[in-house]
Amino acid sequence: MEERSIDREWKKGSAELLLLSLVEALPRHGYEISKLIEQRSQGALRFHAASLYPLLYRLEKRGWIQGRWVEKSGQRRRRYYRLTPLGRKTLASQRQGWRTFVEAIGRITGVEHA
Amino acid sequence: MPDWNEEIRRQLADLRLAPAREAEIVEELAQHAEDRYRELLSGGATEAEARRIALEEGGGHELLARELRAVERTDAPEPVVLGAGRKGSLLTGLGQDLRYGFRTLRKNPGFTAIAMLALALGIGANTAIFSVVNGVLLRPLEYPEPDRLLKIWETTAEFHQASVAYPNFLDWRRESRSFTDMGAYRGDDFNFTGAGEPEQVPGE
Repeated sequence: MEERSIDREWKKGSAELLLLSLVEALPRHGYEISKLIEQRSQGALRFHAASLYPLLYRLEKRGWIQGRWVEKSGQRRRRYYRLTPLGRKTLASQRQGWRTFVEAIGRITGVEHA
Repeated sequence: MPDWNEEIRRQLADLRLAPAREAEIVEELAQHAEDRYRELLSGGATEAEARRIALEEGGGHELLARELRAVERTDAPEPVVLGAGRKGSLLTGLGQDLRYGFRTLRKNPGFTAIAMLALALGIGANTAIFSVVNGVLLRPLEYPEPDRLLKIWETTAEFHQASVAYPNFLDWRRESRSFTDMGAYRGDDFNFTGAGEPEQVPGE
């Protein structure tokens, strides 16, 4: 699937869910998040810095994720984002909402989901 | 290596962010651009291509500024105030502040030396002044009820405050009913002799 085939609004609507999901298991920095989105969507989704970081800052302001600068030996320090307890609740709620939405669309359009 | 910091700072200039916040965002976005640049180089792109693509993907001036403005304008993050830890006890914040202070001092030995010298001089001067004030003004005389002590003089035609003749002193002490008691002293110089040169010493 080509990136341009995915409607921009769809991408915006799912962006929060994608970011929260990617920092659920372990803290990640912004570049790592952008690469994971690209890899796991097999190139269908890409978040460039101009949209990725403002969204990360927005989620941080809502208290869903928390960023922290981490210094590792021999590397420049990086800002890692981790899910907060509030973010974990939000992620569960968004997952359920997305699942319900996709199932509803599937029932109407006949498109099966995974 | 391109100067990502300068480029990104220029893109954020219109937002007028708090300096600390701007520095944080610039550092993070510059690191992202550098990571992308290195990835493109390792994929075979020329330096010029890699730089151009990394900057384009950064969104350019308008997109980045618009997206960030929407986030940052709502409520700027509170600046970190030393001693005001977000969570934990007062001592937790104090410990962090002390560690931060020691790290800062260690990184600036020249400033630290001047600051310590200024403090030492200030403390020394204050101690000296207090010693004088304490001795002259604050420390009480070593007598009971020192605030009731009076020094009395004899007034003559020539002198407003003249030494009291000893017979007069004896009369005053005997006849006065205003004072509980009286004492007298007289200042004089004494010649101190013995081994070596004689020396004159004041006495009372």
